[in-house]
Amino acid sequence: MAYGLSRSQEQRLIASAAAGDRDACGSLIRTHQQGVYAYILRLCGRPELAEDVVQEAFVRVLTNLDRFDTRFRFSTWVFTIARRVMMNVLDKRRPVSDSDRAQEAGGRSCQISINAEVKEHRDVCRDAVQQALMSLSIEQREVMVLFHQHDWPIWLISEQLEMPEGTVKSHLHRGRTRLRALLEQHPARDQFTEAADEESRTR
Amino acid sequence: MTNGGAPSPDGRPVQGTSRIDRLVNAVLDAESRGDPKLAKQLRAAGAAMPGFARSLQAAREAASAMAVLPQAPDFGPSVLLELEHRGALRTRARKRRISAGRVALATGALGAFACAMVLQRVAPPALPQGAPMSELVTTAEADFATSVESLGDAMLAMRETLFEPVGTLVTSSATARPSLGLELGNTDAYEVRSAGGHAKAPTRLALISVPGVPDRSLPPITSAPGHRLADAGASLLVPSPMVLSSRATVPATLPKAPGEVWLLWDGSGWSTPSSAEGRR
Repeated sequence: MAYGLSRSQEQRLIASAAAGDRDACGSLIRTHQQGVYAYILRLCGRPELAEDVVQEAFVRVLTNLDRFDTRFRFSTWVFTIARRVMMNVLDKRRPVSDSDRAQEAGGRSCQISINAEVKEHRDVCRDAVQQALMSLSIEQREVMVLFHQHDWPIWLISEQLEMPEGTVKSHLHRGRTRLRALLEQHPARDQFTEAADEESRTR
Repeated sequence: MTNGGAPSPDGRPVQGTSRIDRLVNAVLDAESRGDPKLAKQLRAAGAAMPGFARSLQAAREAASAMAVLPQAPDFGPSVLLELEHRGALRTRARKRRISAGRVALATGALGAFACAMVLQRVAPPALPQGAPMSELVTTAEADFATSVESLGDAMLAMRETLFEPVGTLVTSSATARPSLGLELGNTDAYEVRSAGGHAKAPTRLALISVPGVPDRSLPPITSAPGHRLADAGASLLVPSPMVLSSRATVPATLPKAPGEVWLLWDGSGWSTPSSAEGRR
């Protein structure tokens, strides 16, 4: 998905950015940064790491724009590069998956426009979701994020993760079951439910 | 059939919950595919199952919570700054543009190369230190008297140092005699047999490089026909071509055949190798 841009608009932006247009580069970044950041943050659970990864990913994307095949989705390409950067970084660094980090991840991801009460509910909700996500395997987590957070179809997730669609579905179903169970057991489940309702209404 | 909602740690549903879980997943898949009719049918099928509605609600809540995108910082300024730093924002034309700096760099490199070539031509390197054998030969030809003297010394040394008969050093190949046995006081085997003080038979003279002496490609010497080489009382006629041999081409035995003389360049002068060295 192009996050509000039509395909042709995005193509023009890409062409301009490849020609060295600074504004076009900025527009491309603004268009995709939210999705890429959310994806990486959900995967790694560490905001500071996610920021480093996303920044490096955008630098690589914009440096290699001339290699982009316009027959494919730009967002998919950006996600692929971001994912590779994250995997490389995680390989080099020792992963930290303690609950403090996970809570920090959820706490930083608040939207400012909502009122304090709803914000508190959302914080609790995201803490719980992030903690639950970090309990899943990396494959289940990734499939869950791409499917439920970014609305990617199964076939696209299958291409992105280079695994058969059946395996993607299997990860998705197991991840859902496990996530549901973990969230049901969460002490702040009531708040979580309210926040989820609020979220579904706003969407 | 129960709605336990308690999968095993690896996410696999335990027995008894799998049917509800499968149905819940099927409903969510159908809804996400945009197939409300199928979703409705599946929900109707699950309505009879105790706990299905609650499981479906919990799964939807989890999915809704997943859909929330965390607020991202603005990466624009930092990314653009990094791109500028790496020079990635320049257009292709600008990247290809020939700058004065590049021209200066190329000119400097070319000038340095040309200067080095001129210096090499004007001042060739001193001979003994690492000079190629071809230049040694050239110098020897230029100063032929020195070469003859060296070869003569070498022949004399060969006579003194040989400790077993190696056949006739200078003979006619047609009249080559077999090696004589070594006898105390009998130096007959070492004597050069020549008629009228000159070797009549064709003789091949081979120069062998030694360890420590640069072992480069060694072209054959072609300009020595008929030269007289002094040999302390005897003279040798050296026909063309003289054979200049590297270590790699030293024959297994030395001398290889009657009429062959092998000389060894030790970096400062020519000498005859011992037969043991020659058989290396």
